[in-house]
Amino acid sequence: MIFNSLHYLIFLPLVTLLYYLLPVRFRWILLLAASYYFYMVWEPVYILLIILATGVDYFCGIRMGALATRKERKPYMLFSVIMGLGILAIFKYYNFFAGSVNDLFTSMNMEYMLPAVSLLLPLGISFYTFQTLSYTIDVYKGKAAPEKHLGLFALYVMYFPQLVAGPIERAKQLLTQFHFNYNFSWINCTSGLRLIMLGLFKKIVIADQISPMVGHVFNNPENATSPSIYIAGMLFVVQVYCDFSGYSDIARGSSRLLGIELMENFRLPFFAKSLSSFWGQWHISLMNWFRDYIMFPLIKDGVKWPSVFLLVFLISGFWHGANWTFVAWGIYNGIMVVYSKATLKWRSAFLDKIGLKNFTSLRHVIQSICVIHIFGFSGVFFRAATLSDSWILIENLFSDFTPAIRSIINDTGNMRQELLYLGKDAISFYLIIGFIVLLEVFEWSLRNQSIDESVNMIPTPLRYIMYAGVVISIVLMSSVAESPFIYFQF
Amino acid sequence: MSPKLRLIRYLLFFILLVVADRFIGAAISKLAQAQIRDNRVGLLIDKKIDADIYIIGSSRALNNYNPAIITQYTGKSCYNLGVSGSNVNFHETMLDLVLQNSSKPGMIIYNIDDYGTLFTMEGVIYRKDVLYPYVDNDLVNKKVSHELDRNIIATKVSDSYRQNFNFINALKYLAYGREATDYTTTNFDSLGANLLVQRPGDKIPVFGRRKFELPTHQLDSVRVSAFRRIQQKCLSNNIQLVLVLPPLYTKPSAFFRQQVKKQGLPGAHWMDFANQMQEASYFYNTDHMNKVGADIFSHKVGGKLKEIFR
Repeated sequence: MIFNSLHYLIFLPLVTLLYYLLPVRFRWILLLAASYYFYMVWEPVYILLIILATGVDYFCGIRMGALATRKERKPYMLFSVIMGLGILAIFKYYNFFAGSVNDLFTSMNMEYMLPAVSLLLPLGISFYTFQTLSYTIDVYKGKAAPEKHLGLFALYVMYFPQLVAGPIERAKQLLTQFHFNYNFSWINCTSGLRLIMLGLFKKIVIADQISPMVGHVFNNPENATSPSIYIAGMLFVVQVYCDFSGYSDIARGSSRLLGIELMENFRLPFFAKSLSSFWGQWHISLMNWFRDYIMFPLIKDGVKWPSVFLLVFLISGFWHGANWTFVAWGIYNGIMVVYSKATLKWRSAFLDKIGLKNFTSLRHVIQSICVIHIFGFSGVFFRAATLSDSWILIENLFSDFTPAIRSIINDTGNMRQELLYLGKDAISFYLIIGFIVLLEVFEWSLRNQSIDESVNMIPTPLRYIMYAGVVISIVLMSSVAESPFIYFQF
Repeated sequence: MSPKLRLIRYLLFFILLVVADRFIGAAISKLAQAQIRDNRVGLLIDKKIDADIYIIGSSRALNNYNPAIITQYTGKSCYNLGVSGSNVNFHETMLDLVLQNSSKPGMIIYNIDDYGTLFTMEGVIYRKDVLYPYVDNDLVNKKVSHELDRNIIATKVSDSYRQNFNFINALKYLAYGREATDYTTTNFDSLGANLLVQRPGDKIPVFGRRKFELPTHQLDSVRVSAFRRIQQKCLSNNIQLVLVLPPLYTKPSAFFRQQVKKQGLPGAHWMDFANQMQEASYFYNTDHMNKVGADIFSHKVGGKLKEIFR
């Protein structure tokens, strides 16, 4: 089931209503059943994988809880981690590994071929695997107590708002909340609905509209021209942001309706002043996971920070997908973050020197634009189908800029529609740009306050007109077919 | 805030939403209908067309038949509902609209497309765009929702949702006015046909005889079923059905004709002109006749129809 479907529009209010009608002791059963149903709408058989992961991690957690030392707990931790990563490796990476090995054999004129297997990638596997890994490691380290209630633990693994695309929650944050009782709260309800509305706006009104424009360029790299690649690259950044943060908003909003708080996964990344702070504001739950389970232990073991960052981003690339494009994306971002951190003082001094010391807002804007462009460039790896497509796009990005710009200005042979509007008509293009500007203006107002604070400052009649405007925009722009969220593939 | 006040506020918001939804839906509908050049579906729904004979099919129906000439021969009013690039499923919808809105259709002339009627062909589609502006009509809404896999209940609950495919066209109307006429596809005469006259100053078109090869010999079962349903609907409603294979500037396919005739139901009239009028001077391009060719062809069809009516 996807959030931007009519199915979910019926499912969520029904679950919420039943949740508050049921006696507290039965609520977890409802949430667990709803979560299983939510997942099984996609592919029923893959629920078995999650049940297996739940069983193994629950058992290992309980066993570790009964043992006093880390040494005694270690075999259970290893068993759980190997099991989780093993399933992930088979379903997500086996064919990639086999294909790469076969390519290597072919290049060496060897005839041996590893067979490919036809497996559907289980929805959300990377997310729930990392979530259960964090539980196992935390219990192993003694940072979290093992959960004794199998039902609540299963709910922690399966909780439908964040099951398929995060946020990747820690047991301490999410699992403990399942033990509390919640009464219906109008404040939570309003706040949750606001988040859901914002998420749907980002997904349907912006991300889904941009998607064909980006595809127009990235699916035809040979014919793509410099300005088109630039515009598509920038739009792709907005698409991924609106798609993924839209999902996270809906997840948080849905959960808030039930009284359960999920962590913020995006914190205004487009207003980040440096690349390293950008990565602290983008997909926060994953970056925190890397920080706590890879970065800190490695730095503690004395590994130099540049190597740690490069490794983390390489793993992040692999986490995103079994394709060399994601590996390249990870390496590129790793290098850029290392560069960003290493030159922080020098760049700051440079900006002071060119007279931006006293123009803090202008300085902020310039820094944010630089960050967006550096991150936007990585889209040629992230979005392209193959690495060779990425290279073609990079080549075309830096060639024949002037003739293409001339074609856009003169609109010869309807080239403006092709190169600037990326296949859309002028009205649709400017409408989408208008919606993006509107969103960013709203987000700018969130720098120093929460969404609820920001919205509550608006006079009541105006606020309700704004809500109606958002709802009508979502309805009007939902003419394209319901499209799955980008991060579902991971 | 007290729960009562909150409920009142939510209720007011709901009313605001409903009013906005209805108003925006109605506005989009009006603007989109004003924007589209092909308003023949609208005329049919509004019962401003009520002919005895309807011509249904794709661009060959639109460009090759002159309804005025057919009326001369038959004494019956005739209207052309051909739509360029449309497939057989779309033709079935046009027939359904005729059956629903026309009081006295006595005959349907269904133009058969070489290959396209029974086989999957690129560029031949269900022309939803022609139907979108008239989605307030239940039948159109049902067909469009089915084609787009949309929830029909949702389209009935929300006017804005039902109309959202027309939103951009409505904005286009506000910005640019009515859609420009396309000479070959939307330059309709008063009887719905689009006869292609060589315009003064136009270059004489040069085209070679089309060489067409069917990519597959596998029938498209969806199209075959629609073709058979068109026949069943006409026959069960006591409407005379005339299935016409028009002239093409290409070598007719014996295989296709054999296949299409195999799908014919007893009771339909067949007219096969595939081997007639093979001169380039009758054609605007390889697939469509010019006005000279269309008029001569319409005389031939009219003559045969006269015999049927006799």
